[in-house]
Amino acid sequence: MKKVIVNILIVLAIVVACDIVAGFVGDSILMSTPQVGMLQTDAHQALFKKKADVLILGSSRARHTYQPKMITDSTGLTAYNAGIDGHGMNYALIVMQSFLERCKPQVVLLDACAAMVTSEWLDNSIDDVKHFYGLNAPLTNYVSEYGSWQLQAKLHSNLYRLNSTPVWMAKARALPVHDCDGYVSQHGNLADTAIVNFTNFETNEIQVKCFEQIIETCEKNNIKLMVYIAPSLEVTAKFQRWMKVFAQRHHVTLYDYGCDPFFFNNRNRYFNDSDHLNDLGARIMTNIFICDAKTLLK
Amino acid sequence: MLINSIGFWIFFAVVILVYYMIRNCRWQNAWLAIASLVFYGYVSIRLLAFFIVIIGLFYVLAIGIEKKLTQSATIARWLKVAGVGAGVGVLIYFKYLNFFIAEFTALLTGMGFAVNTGTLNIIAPLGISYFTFKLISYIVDVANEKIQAEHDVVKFTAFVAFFPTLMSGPIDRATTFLPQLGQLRKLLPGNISDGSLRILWGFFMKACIADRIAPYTDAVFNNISHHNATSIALASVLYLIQMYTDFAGYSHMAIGVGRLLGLTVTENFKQPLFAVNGGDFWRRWHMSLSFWLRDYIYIPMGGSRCSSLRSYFNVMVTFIACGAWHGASWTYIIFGAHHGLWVIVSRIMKVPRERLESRHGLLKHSTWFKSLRIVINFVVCCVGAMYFRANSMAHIVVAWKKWLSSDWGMPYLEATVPLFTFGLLSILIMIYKEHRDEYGGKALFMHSSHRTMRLVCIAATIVFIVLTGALESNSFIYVQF
Repeated sequence: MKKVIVNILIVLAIVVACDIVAGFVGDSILMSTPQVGMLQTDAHQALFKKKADVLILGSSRARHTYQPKMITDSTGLTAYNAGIDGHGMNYALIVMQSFLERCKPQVVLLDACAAMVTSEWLDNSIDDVKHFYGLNAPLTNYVSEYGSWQLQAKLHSNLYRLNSTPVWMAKARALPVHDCDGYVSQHGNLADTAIVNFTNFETNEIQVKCFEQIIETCEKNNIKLMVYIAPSLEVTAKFQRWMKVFAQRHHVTLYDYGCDPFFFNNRNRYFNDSDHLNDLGARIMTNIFICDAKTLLK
Repeated sequence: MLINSIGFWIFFAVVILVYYMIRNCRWQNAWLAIASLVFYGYVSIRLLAFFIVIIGLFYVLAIGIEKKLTQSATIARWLKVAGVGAGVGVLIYFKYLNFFIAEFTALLTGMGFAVNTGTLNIIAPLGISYFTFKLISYIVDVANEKIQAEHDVVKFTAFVAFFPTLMSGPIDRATTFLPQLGQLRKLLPGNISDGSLRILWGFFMKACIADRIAPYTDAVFNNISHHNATSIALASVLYLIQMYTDFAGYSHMAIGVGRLLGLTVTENFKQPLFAVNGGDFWRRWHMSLSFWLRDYIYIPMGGSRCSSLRSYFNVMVTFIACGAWHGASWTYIIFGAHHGLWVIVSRIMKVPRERLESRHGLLKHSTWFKSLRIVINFVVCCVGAMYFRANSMAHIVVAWKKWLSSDWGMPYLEATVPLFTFGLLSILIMIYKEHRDEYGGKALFMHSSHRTMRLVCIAATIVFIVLTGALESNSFIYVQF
């Protein structure tokens, strides 16, 4: 029995040593990963590097809709699109808090969709950036406040935190460096598609709290918050009603283009797929935002 | 509470700590029974009472059969029929009733009758397919006087509800398991190392292979009409590997947990990817189920000791039952029939193959010929895996239409980087290990006789799993059955 215990201790010691080494090596590679336009490198840029006067937050709908270059050309304000596919309000909050550590944006454009305030993307949002735990203060604070005890326990391991990162880190180093503003254009044209109505909608407490924290932080830092609902053929009327009430309660300006007839009537022209605008649609939507922002900033 | 969750391992730590503090085998059984019922109740408190009633019913029935065996064989036979009927009845009610209602309604509607029957709101108890088969085999073995009825209700409960195998098997037999509960279990070094290595290997199979493959097979099979024939073929190959590593991974973990508790759980897999024909495959794949079906369906029907035609009929019935055991869906029936047919074809081919081998003596020992047979069997099993995974009969038709058309081209490869890097590496590691297990050779890596080598390999495996495995798994495929 003594031999078995000694063996177990030796194995544990080797694993712990590997964990420590992996932490050092992994972090240094992680923090020096170049910007190549991959989802993971975009998250790295948003959490650690970028500065902008106009910060765009949201999910894939934000990522494929708002064009920072157009905003800069038209307003003279620098802009960065930090929207990432399948990420909720919790991720938006972490990005905004990370930005505030480096600079203070004048305007925050938050593009909201139903999945961002439900539990659908609650875990994804953190899983995709968990390797930055301990390196990024807002993320670390979020996990301590909202993460389950299992997640907190597991994140003490560097190996767990860095799980699956070697592949994308290697891929990122193989791709050419290109400094992008976060916007990803899509050039498809939707074939005839009907509007789909979703009836299920139930908010998640943590996501709503994060949304409220975004509003509070903007208020405290005197940042103009503009909440948008971008056009989509996947309509959740319950969400739109909820947003209206929520925005009124928190005195936030809501720009709801979710069911905008202009986009709906020309859906074959402006949509890439049922939930995302194509580049042409994105240009129009960005122009709408620019007009709204100019009015607000006056 | 899945076997690969933190919750399970905290629960298990408490169980094993108390288990080995007890110095009496009856109390160890009592603790095991309590832990198993708590485990069951944690997952579904509403169905715990039902589970206890079922255990009680079969306990009483077996004692009744044993008593009547000496007094009246007819009554004993009727009690056996009642026991088997109760087991099958429970399965039919919970798993198949809604299927029968829906199919019957569809049939009547198809015949032009206006029928409007709803389905029943039935929740199947956890592990129902596993514990009913355990109980049926127990009743039949008692009636056939293979074993004596268990009079210790606590020991019987510990056997039926044994928590590591409760959700997904292996389906233990009373003949091998109950005698083990009659002895005091001590914490032995051999059990600790063997059990831990089995658990570790199970985790490797589940996290590094099965869960790495799952996103790809889900993407293809859930949108089958949007994918070309190449993608469906690739997904079918991968799904066979996923099924194997998911289920064998669970079985390894369950066997390992049993070993840590000082109990030997039935083996469930024996390198099935190296099988050379249908019969060989089922002697290696889900062995606890296939041997159960052989002993309680195939052999009682006459097995192979009858005419060839009758024997093929027996095979077909057994395999259709095997398919139906998985669930109430035509896709599972097709899966069973496909494998039944393959076993029959393998039998028919046996004579010409042996004739060929005797004519060309070298063929018998040819690695190439054996490899060819392994590849053919693998391809047939991949088609079976497609039937198993298909969401409906319509999807099976779509898959075959695509395979028979000219819709071959580049496969779908989006978001497959982790699968074709870490996943592929893990599959190669597994095949290498299985090859060594199958064809012998010096024990290497985690089983090396060199201590330092062994410990470093164990640590490296842990590091590899945590760094590269898909760790956020939701479930095991076979838990749903």
